[in-house]
Amino acid sequence: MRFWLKTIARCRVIVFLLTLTACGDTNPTTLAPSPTPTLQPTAIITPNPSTPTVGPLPTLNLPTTTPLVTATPTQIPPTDQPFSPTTRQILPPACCRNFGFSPDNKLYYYDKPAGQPKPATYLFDPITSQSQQLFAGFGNFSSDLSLVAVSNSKTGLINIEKVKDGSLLAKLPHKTTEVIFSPDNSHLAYLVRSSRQDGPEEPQLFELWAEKIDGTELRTVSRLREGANLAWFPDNRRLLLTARDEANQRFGLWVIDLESGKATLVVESKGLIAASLSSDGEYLAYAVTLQSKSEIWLAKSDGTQAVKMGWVGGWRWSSSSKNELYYIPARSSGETANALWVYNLTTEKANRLTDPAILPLKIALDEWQMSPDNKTLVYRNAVDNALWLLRFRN
Amino acid sequence: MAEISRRKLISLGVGLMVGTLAGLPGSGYAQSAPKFGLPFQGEPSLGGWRMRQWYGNTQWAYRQRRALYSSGQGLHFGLDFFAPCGTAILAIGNGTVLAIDGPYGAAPHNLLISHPNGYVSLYGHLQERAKLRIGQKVQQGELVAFSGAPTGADCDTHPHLHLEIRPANLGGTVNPINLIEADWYNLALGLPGEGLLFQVNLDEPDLWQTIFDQPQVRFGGSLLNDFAHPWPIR
Repeated sequence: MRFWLKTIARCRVIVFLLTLTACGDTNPTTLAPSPTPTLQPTAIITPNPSTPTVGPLPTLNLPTTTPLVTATPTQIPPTDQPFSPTTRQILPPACCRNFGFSPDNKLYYYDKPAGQPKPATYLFDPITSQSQQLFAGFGNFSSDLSLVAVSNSKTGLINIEKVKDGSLLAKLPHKTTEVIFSPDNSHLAYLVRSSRQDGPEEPQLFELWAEKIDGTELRTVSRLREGANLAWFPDNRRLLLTARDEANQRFGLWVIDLESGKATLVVESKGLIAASLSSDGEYLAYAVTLQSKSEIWLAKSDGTQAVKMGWVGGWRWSSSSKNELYYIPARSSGETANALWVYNLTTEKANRLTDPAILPLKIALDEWQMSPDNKTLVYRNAVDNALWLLRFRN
Repeated sequence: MAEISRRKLISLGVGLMVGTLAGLPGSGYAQSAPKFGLPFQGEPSLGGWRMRQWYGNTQWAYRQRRALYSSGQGLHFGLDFFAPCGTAILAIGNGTVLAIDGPYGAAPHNLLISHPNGYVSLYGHLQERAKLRIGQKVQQGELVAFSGAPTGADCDTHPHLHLEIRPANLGGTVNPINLIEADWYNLALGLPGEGLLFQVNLDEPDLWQTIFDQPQVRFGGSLLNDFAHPWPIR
């Protein structure tokens, strides 16, 4: 794969974070010293006799070597958009957590609007600019918004419900941050952080769990450390995540096959902090920091043919076009606003979709989402903290 | 009504800060706010310094609210910058050295500088004892220390500077974001991690969700973020 980045340049402003690490552990006491929290010896989680199908990460395949290809930055191409992008505020300042798009390009979000007694999840129609309640609470939704994983307000455990009528499909025996539904809604998967690690101990222990949507076949898939960035492949059988193995020896990006139980380390790196799959599961983008090869990379989903992207910033895969990666590079000094770019994997070309001189984007907290029709983007405007809609295609 | 007022205030606060940072007219508060600088030289980079954790109601702090940050009301009461051990640390403002390796945590070494505007800056997890004298005058941008890591031996995995700004009585902290000039959101664009995301109180979802709108910390006070219905769930 030779496809990356003859055309992408810039981005000397670079920032990257090492995730999931202890920090800021100062002692606020002004009168007498107290011990600064320190890292504790790592505890090894012991199997729970009642836990089904427990096991460590299976034997690994040979890891793919660290990417070595580097794209050569060139001049920034001008935008060739015949359409003039526009922006407009769609929802008020401070509104809207956990927002995303429905398959029909409506925006869902969690909020407590003025005058409403309780917060809820709403669906906003960009055409009519009207919102209606989608769900009377907060949850993680399936991509088609038909299913929701919702936390029981008393126990904190997760229920799987149908959004339409609230009927209960399954009860998970865990508190967990994020449940992800397989693309066909047949299975779900989630990470559970070890409850034995409430302190600053690192690396954090996790268990990866999966089950069928009706609650059957619940099982621990793997035990691991520092698990994050969990995603389904379109085949509804494999999972992608960043993690270390339980022995804390192998770090990187893993693909786990739920049928065979095989775990494959497709990218090995101690500094891998983010990763995401293209909509067809053929490609992945990932960020590496801490090492000399720190960068954002694009590769085949088996880790091969990795190439450096030449910029640092936020990115999102198109959810409907399998060959497009949208990205917003961080500004270098002297630049006053961000621009939206798209990289086409078929043509191997990058194209700037907005001109920061004409349409300045300033995005807060990397909060932005692409619509499935690849025509609009919703972002949190750093200027007013409201949600704005950018239309960049007709 | 209260909801509307709160949202207006949050919006106003964000707008004023962004306007101020962009050199636009601001409010009396914004215009009179001290103008500290970043504690590093040059631009951030992957091989150099970069943002790691905001001040306040971060997801990381929430998870550590009963442990690491229990004495700080459960909040992250400073800013964390990733920085390789040995990175030069600059004074964020003119001032006087108040303490070196005093009883203020942030092991293995810390440095406190008192500023004429009444604030005190704390630089923590330093690599070595600062080569300064208590009472010594320093200028904004002057090299005052070198960054390290919390245990002194974890430079490979946790090198960072912990920066606090405290009032003169040292009894708490304030949000450095509102006192230091920087293009903050751009410094963190695209970065993942619990330190750069805020914990959501599902009962009041807009509470403390911007880098500017974060509460002051009073050391020894009760937890501020012990939400009954949090997200993410911990």
